Amino acid sequence: MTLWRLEWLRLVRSYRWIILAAVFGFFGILGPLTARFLPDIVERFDESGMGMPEMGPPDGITQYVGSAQQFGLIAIAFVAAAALAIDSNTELSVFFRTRASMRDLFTPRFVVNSLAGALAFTFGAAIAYIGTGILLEWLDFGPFAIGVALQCVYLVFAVAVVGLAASIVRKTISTAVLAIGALILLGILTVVPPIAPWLPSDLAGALDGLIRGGDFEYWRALAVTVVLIVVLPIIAINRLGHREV
Amino acid sequence: MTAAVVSTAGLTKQYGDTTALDGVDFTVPKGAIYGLVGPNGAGKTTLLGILAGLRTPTSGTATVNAASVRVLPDTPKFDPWLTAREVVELARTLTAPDSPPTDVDEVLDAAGLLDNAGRRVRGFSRGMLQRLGIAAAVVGDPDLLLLDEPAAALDPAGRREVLDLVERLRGRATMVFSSHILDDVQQVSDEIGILRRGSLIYQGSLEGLLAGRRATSYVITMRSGHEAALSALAAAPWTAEAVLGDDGILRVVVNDLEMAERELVPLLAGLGAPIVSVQPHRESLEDVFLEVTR
Repeated sequence: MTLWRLEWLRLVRSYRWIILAAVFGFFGILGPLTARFLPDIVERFDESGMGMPEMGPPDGITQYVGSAQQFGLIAIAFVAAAALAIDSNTELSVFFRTRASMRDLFTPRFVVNSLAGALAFTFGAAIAYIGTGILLEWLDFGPFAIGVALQCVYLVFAVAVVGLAASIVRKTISTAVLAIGALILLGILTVVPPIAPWLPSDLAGALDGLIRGGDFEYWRALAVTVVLIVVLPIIAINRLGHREV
Repeated sequence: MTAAVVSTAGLTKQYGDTTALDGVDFTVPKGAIYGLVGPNGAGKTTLLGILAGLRTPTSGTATVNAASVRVLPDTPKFDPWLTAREVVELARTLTAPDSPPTDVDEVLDAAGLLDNAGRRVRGFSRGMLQRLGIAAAVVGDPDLLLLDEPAAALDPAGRREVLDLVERLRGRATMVFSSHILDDVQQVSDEIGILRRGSLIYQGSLEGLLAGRRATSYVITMRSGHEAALSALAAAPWTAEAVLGDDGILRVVVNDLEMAERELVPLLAGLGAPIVSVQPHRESLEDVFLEVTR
């Protein structure tokens, strides 16, 4: 029984992988359905006669990304916080802290939850892509795949933020809430034009932008995000290692 | 002289304005079961936390001459979706990966949990969790075990099981055993330290603590003739104090034990009174503890 297997069992036996798969899978199904049928539904019940603009194939993915960025991110934050809030339970913390270094404890939790979040997003995106192809029109796979990869990098960053939050507060819920708050704040900062291209939040709109034929303008955000994915866990490990329990 | 596994010098820990430990000089000999006694809030958990490396002292030093140290919290908890065997296997992998995997079942068996080894921890009682905690702590044969109130939260049967387990570990590891249940400490410890408000006010053998306090008083039960006995006892040169209680029992505090042992019974026999019993009153650890922590 290694700490890596422990994290795998945490995902499987506590059914957290089902939560992630269900949330992203649900929105993966809902996105194309909304894009295909929402205008018809609105038209049927709209008495003003204004209707709703026609939706195109990219909207199936856009709908998915919009929901995944909200509810999916919240689900990932709570699932990751449940693993990364190492000191949430003092007795469990004592068990682990007296048997392994903080780096050895933190790394598998961070990596496994990052992978789980990225896989869940990819799973939902694949459903949305196939649904869009069946109900609307098949999109170019290249931009879609690159967009998904960039979104996954952003989700790994989100898990790193959760890890940092776990080194600031102790409880699972406060860790998740602090991380979500920080991610929302970063999202709000994208309205400031000079810094927006440098923010990790810029990657959150990458999939939508790329499938609509936008240019790849994410190098700066990608570089900053990758650096933060490395730096935030190091800070978190250092802070957690110096915390008293 | 036996080498010390743990020694502290001037160990002080402050939480803001509160002093949890105040200049503690503490020594645990190799192989001892050291009972750390003190009322709630005396600083026992803080001291064990520092020895385990979970807390840092404000000043002073703590030296632990042990290659492997394990801690058992007062109410151990484990991921509820793991089985008992997986918990111990995880502990073995993390602390003694070179030890044979068969050690896992061996310690589970010693803890009386082999029949429940495949069960998930979620449904375990407090007593079972405590025994699982001990199994996870001893796998890989640590040099030093820090047990924080290991039996405090258990019912009498659970306490007995845990104390028996601790007793069986004697000789395998040095143990520091904190408790405010003095009876537990008296049963298993051979060295004790008494903490009061962060200060170590006694350290040494249990025998040493109780020595000189034995049979310094007698409890005498009679059917009649109490007044005459009280007068005779009060007049004896070896009596410090003689009191007749409302319960009709005579209590005699002596100032010369040797003389009292020689003359008490003949004196009572000479009165011709019907005596039911004459018992030396042995002070328990609890009596001494209450006296020194007052």
